[in-house]
Order: sequence, then C-alpha cells, then structure tokens
Amino acid sequence: MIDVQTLTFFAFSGLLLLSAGGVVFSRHAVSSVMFLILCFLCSTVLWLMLHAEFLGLALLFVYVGAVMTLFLFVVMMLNVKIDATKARLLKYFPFVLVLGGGLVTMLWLALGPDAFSIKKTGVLAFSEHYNNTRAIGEVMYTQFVIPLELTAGILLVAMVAAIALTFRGSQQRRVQDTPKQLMASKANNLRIVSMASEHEGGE
Amino acid sequence: MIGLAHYLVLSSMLFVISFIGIVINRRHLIVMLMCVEMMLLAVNMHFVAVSQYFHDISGQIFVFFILAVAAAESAIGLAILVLLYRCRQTIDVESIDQLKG
Amino acid sequence: MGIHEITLLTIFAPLLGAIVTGLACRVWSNQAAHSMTIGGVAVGLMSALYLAHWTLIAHPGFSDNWTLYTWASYGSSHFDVGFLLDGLSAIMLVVVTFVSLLVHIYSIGYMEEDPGYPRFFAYMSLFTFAMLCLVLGNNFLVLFFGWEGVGLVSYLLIGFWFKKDSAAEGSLKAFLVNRVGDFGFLIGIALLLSYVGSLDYAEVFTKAPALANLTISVIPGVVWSLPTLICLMLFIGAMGKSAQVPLHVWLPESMEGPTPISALIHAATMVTAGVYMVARMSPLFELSDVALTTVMLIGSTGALMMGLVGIVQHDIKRVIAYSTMSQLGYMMAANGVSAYALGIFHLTTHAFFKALLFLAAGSVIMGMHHDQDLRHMGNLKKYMPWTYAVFLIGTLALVALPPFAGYFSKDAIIEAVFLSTLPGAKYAYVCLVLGAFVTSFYSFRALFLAFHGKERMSTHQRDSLHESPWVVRVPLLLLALPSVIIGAVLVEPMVYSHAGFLSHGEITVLPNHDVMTTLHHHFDGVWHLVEIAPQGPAFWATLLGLGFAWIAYIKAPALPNQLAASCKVCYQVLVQKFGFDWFYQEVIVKFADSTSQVLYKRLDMGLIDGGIVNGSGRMVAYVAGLMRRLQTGYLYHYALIMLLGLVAMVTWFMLRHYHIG
Repeated sequence: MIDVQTLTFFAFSGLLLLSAGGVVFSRHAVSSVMFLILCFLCSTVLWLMLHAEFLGLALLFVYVGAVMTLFLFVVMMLNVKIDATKARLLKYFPFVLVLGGGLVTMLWLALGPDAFSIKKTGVLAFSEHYNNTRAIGEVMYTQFVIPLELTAGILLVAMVAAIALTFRGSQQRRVQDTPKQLMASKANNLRIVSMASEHEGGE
Repeated sequence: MIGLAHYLVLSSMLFVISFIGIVINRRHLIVMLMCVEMMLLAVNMHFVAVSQYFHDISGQIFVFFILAVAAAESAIGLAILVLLYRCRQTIDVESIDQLKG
Repeated sequence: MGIHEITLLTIFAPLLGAIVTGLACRVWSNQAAHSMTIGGVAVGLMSALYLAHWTLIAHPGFSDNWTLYTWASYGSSHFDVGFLLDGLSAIMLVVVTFVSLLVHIYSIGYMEEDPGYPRFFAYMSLFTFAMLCLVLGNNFLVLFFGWEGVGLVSYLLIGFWFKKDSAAEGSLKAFLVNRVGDFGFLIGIALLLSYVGSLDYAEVFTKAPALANLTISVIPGVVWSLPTLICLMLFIGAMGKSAQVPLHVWLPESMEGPTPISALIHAATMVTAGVYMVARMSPLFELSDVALTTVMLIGSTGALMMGLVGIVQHDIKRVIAYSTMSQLGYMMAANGVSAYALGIFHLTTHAFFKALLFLAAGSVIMGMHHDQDLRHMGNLKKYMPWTYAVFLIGTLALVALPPFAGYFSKDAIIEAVFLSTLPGAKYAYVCLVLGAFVTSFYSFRALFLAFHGKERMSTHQRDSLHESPWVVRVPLLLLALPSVIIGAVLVEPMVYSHAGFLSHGEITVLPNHDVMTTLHHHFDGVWHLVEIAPQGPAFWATLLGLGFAWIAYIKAPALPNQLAASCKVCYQVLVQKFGFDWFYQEVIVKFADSTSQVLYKRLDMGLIDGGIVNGSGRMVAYVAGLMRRLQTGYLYHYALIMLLGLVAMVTWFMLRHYHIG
C-alpha cells in the first residue's frame, strides 16, 4: 500500500526530471524557461515535504518571481531565432548519455539506498511545534550574521554591476563623444574622387 | 516511506541531466545559464535533504546563501549576455569561439 | 680602556678612515682624505705600540684570546670573530701599522698630482685593516678574511692606474695566481675543520698532536699522512700570498701599482703574510717533516733563483721586487728548519729596510719623472743626496753587512739552515749562501747603476732632477733609522733570549727540530755577533758580490754586456725568468683556453644553449602547438572535459571505497 507521501514524492520528482529534460531538449528558449519554472515549482513541493518551508517558499518567490522573470524577459527581448538542427544536437549525445548514466549509477551507489537507507537515517521526524522559519532565523541572525551582511553586499554589487554593464548612457541628450572625436581621421571622413575637370562656362 | 536516499538520488539525477544539458546544448547560451541554475537547484536539494534528515540547520543557511549568490550570478550573467548580443548580434554557442587556440 | 677595547681600536680605526674616505672620495679634498686616513692609521699605530709594550715588555708571555661575536654556529662547530693578542701578533701589529703610517705620509708627496688621490688613501687604510685582521685573528676564519681582504686590496691597488693595460693585466694576474694559492689554503682549512671540528687556533693546536698518525687517501691507493697534507695545502696558500716558487709570477707584475703600494703591500707586509701564517701554524707544521722540508726547499730555491733573475732586470722596482721574493725565500727557509722566530725576525727587519728601499726607489722615480729604467739613471747621488743616503742604508741592510739590520736576521737564518738535520738542508744551505752573494751583487748593481757612474739620462730629465720634498724624505729617514738599528736591538729578545718575545708558547718547536737551542749556545752578546761575522761564509759571499758589482758596473762598465754575449744561454734563461711565465702562458693558459673553447662551443652553445635552453623553448612551442588544438573555444567542449573529470574523480573515489579503502 502506497501512502500519500510516497505517491506525492514520486509524482513530483518524476515531473521534476521530465521538466528538467524539457529545459534541455525543448526547441525554443521560451519553452525552456517555462520548463525551468516548472522545475522550481516541483522542487518547492519537494522541499515543503521536507518541512523546509522557508527555503521552499523563498525558492518560489526569488526564483520563479524574480530570476525566471528576468530570464523570460531577456529571452523575449533578444528574441533570437536559431534554427536547431537535431543532428548537431545529437552528435555527442550517445557518448554523453553513457557518461551521464555512469555518473548516475555511481552516485546511486554512493548516495543511494545502500548508504542512506531508511534504516540508517530514519524517517523525517519533527515535533509538532517545529517551526522551520524560526529555526533558520535564530541561527541566521546570530551565528551567521556577518555572512548574511556580506551576502547583501554581494547582491548590491551584482546589481550595480549588471546596471553598469548594460547601461548605454542617456539616449536623449546630445553629448560629445570625445574618444570618437579624437579617433576621427581623414580616411574615415574625406573621400577624394578623381574626376574630369569641369570648365566654367562654355567655349 | 521516503528516505534520505530518495532525495539524494533524485538530486543527483537532476544534476546529471543539467550537466548533460550544458554539454550537448548547441543553440542558446541562455539555456546554458538555465542549466547552471538547475545544477545549483540540485545541489540545494542535497543540502536541504541532508540538513532536515540530520537535524542540522546550518545546511539550510548555506542554501540560503547559495540562492543569493545564484541570483547575483544570473543577474550578471544575463547582463553579459545582453552585452554579447549587442556586440555580435548572436548568442549562438557555436559562434562564440574567440578562445580558440 | 681595557686591552680588548684597544685591540678593537687598533683594528677598526684604519677601517673607519677607509670607509669615511672611500665614501667621501668624490667630495672631499685631498687634504681631508689624507688627514682622515693618516689619523686612523696613526691611532692604530699608537694603540699597537701600547699593545706591544703591554704584551712584550710589561707582561711578557701575555696572551689574550677572546671572541668578539659568533657569526654562525652549527652543531658543535662555531664560526667566531675573535682575536688573539700575543707576542707574535704584537710584533706584526707594530710592523704593519708603523710601515703603513709612514707609507701613508710618503704618499702625500708621491701621489700628489694623482686624480685618484682619496681613493688611494682609502685603499691603503682598508689594506691596513685587513692586514690587522689577518695577524690578530684567533681562528682560521678571521685569518682567511684578512687573507682575502689584503688580496682584494692588493688587486685594487696593482690595478690602481687601471687605464694602463699593463696595470690591469698585472692586477688580474696577481688575482688569478693568488686564487690558485687560496684554493689550496681553503682545502687546508676545510681539512682541519672536518678532522678537528673547529677553526679556533687554540682548539686546533690542542688537538693537533692527535692528528699526527692519521692518514688520508685522496686518490684511492695512495695514502698520505694527514698533517702533511694539511700543511702542504696551507703552504700552497702561503706560496701564493708570499710569492714562493712556483706561484711567484704575480709579484713582478704587481710593480705596476704605485710605488708606495709596492713598499707597503708587496714588500713589507702583505707578502709576508705567508711567513706569518706558517709561523703561526708551527704546531701543525712541526708534525710533518715532509711539509717542513718542502717549505725549506721551496724557500731556499726561491731565495737563489729569484735573486739571479734580479741581476738582469732593468726596472729599478723590479730589481727590488725580485729581491723581495728572494728575501721571502729566506724567511720561508727559516720556517722550514723550524726557526720560526728567525723567520719572523727577518720579516721584521726586512719590512723596514725593504719599505725603505722601495720608497727610496719611489723618490728616484719621482725625480726621474716616472722613468724607472736603471739604464737611464746614473750618478744620481749628485742630485739626490738624501735619497742616495737612505738607499745606501737600505742596500747595506739588505745585503746583510754587519751591523745593519739585515745582518742579524739573515746570517742567523743561514746558520740555522746549516744546523738543520732535515733532508736537503745542505742543498738549502748552499742555495742561501749563494743567495747572499747574488743579493749583494744585484743590490749593489742597482745602487751603482742608479747613483754612481756616468749620467745616462736625457738632458730634459737632468735639468729637472731634484731632491724629493720633505714629506717624502721624512718617512725615508724614519725608516732608515730602524733599518740600521732594529736588528741589533731586537736580535736578543726575539731570537736569542729564553724569555724573549716569542718564547712563551707563541711558537711550538719539537725537540728533534730545535736548531734554535744550538744557536743560543753560540750567542754571546750583540757585539760578539758582529765580531764573528767574518767567520761565516755569507759575509765573504756578500763582500764578493760587492766586489763583483763594483768591477762590473763602475770599474769596467762594458763587462756585463760582454758576459751576456759570451753566455747567451745563461743570460736568456735569466731574462726569461727561468721560463715560469712561458710555461704558464704556453701550457696552462693555452690548455685552459682550448678546453674552455671546446666547453664553450660544444657544451655551452651546442648542448646547453641549443639543446636545453632553445630546445626547451622549441619543445614548449611544439607541445603548445599540439595543445592549442584542444582549445576549441566552444563552451560545451570545456564543459565536457569538466564532466569527464568529474566522472573520473567519482570513479576513483568509488574504486577506493570498494577495493582499496
């Protein structure tokens, strides 16, 4: 008899893997983004099953709400049309599949039921009063407060960097471009055309 | 019953799929970035699962930091991508080979 | 101030002068430069006199062995900077600082118009410092430091006029030949360090008797006595520094330096360092009859051979240079027959009269406008009476006529060699007696050629001939005085007294080598020594030499040329200086040159440059050419490599987990 939890886990993990494959194999970048969003949604469900409510929801808000929107925006903005020929895609595919399969097998051996079976690790068990958000908060604002501040700094720097990289200067003002002026040369601006001389007036 | 091993194997498979995605992807640079995000997700899942099963909350703190850094990374990555597109009018992975020896 | 402080003052006052003058030599006036250095050396002389008085007269047998600081140590060995003040070093101290001071003063006049004036004084003071380190050191390290220090300054000063090719070459030659000697010296020191475990004199000498029966086999199958090997190696160093045959070839070339330098370094002090060293190492040399015999044979051979070469030299300085080598041979011969006290005594008297001769020659050279050729001189006594007088005194002291200084030391050496029982002592004795004749001949030859006979200089030179200024004459007079009396004054305390300067353990002599005791029996007061002079052969040999020289250069001036023409072979042998230079130039230098050419072209340019250096560059370029194909520039290829690496790593971990771990 399969209980509800097991059923939910397998359903969502299967969906997770399928949508991961969708990200990799879908033809259009937009659908890749959509599959990725689905991935994150499934993950959120799985993390909620792990009683990691805070991170699950943070994943939902941060990623699906902000990051994936950004991705979608960029994909839409660039609107790149690349003809995807299947042949190119599948050139190394068998080889990579073997490698990936081997890696999964070995990770299965290393991390799978042999090493972390229920007998060894037990089932997930929390008291009724367990509060994931509180547990994280208690540690984060005491023990990890400095890394937290640093993270904030990193985010700020990333924001500034992203703006600095893409900012193209004001588009409205008419300003001098000094380097361009300095680089001006005769060759670029002056064309000498040889032509027959024209006499003024007639004969 | 669902044990730790289920989660670990699941995240390992997710990791391998996204890695394969990076390797075989020939079209969109942006899909590569997405695959990177997926790899980070796989690692995060590892962290969360182990943290919850062994009752050690610092694993989840780590996930928090990874999320933050990943967000920063994708922001800058996308900015570079936009710049790249502006310069070269393409983000085709095959045409980006300036490092060719 | 205690004795230690005064010792330090003696050593470091000249160094201070040298450093300050050396650093300021571009800004300072000449006067400031010589005041500074002369001040430093004068302080050195004062304190040296105090120390000598303290050590030799006030507290006979005083010995002060102390360590200033430890430079390095490993295990039980330690390298100290330490000083040893005893009778031997006290005598050397006074000799060095006294001659040095007078030469400093003399140089004021001699170097007057030289653009390198302050540099010259700085070098001389530096030399004084190094020489004082050499004589005062209480271990081989300080000895070696001083040894190399004086070598360096000697090199710098021979090449003082470095724009002159011959000076530059002479300095190079001196440096290279001394390297050969120093190489042996270093090996000797290293042997001592490895077998005794210490560089300290006191410790080495205490443990030396234990070495007597040790043997060493450098070449498999050939067994050498260890003390013999050590002493021979040390003596090779002394051969280089003290210009003994066959490493003497650099000393004539060193005459390219300014004359005061020839007087100070290449006659009075530095070249006697080897003699001092052998005397200081007497406890070691006593252990090996072979080494002593070698010292004696090489010394006596040099005494005769170099004197013979001196006969045919035309350069007044070179005549004196060969005479120096000859006299160094006498000192070494004295050391060889274990009459170390005599060696040091002759060193002392020689320092005064040889410095005198050189400085007088310098005075002549100044008068002659730096023309050193004896053939251009003649009858200078009319123009330079003072110089003539002191030169005469120097010559009389050198040829060892009683009662001048040289007599007491040289005659005693000849007698000591006569009494020696070492194998070959008879040969050495003959050499030395003949050497006395030769010494007399070439000394009076130089004297007669320069100061007597016809005037052979150009009219221009004659018109400007003049006596040297007082600043030159005063040092000459101050040296002439000891050249006359120092032998008579010091002969008793240094040689014939049982409670003398060197009879308190400064020098070790084994009973079976002890010729000095026999000599003591003959001693009956200083005047008695003078009275018995005609009983020895050396006296008559000297007079004979004087007579021959008089006949050949005053009575019948054509005779020398006739002799040279009638015995061309002998003359050529002498002019070619027995072919040592030829041998070195044609055999050793050519061999080294051709070997280096092969090494240079084949090994260095061919193998190392072509094969290893350029070859590795080419290899890198080739491999890089292959490697660049891996760099496709495609992201997914790099990712694939990462994936491969990851798989390999995980595989390795798994394998280790299941099979090995």
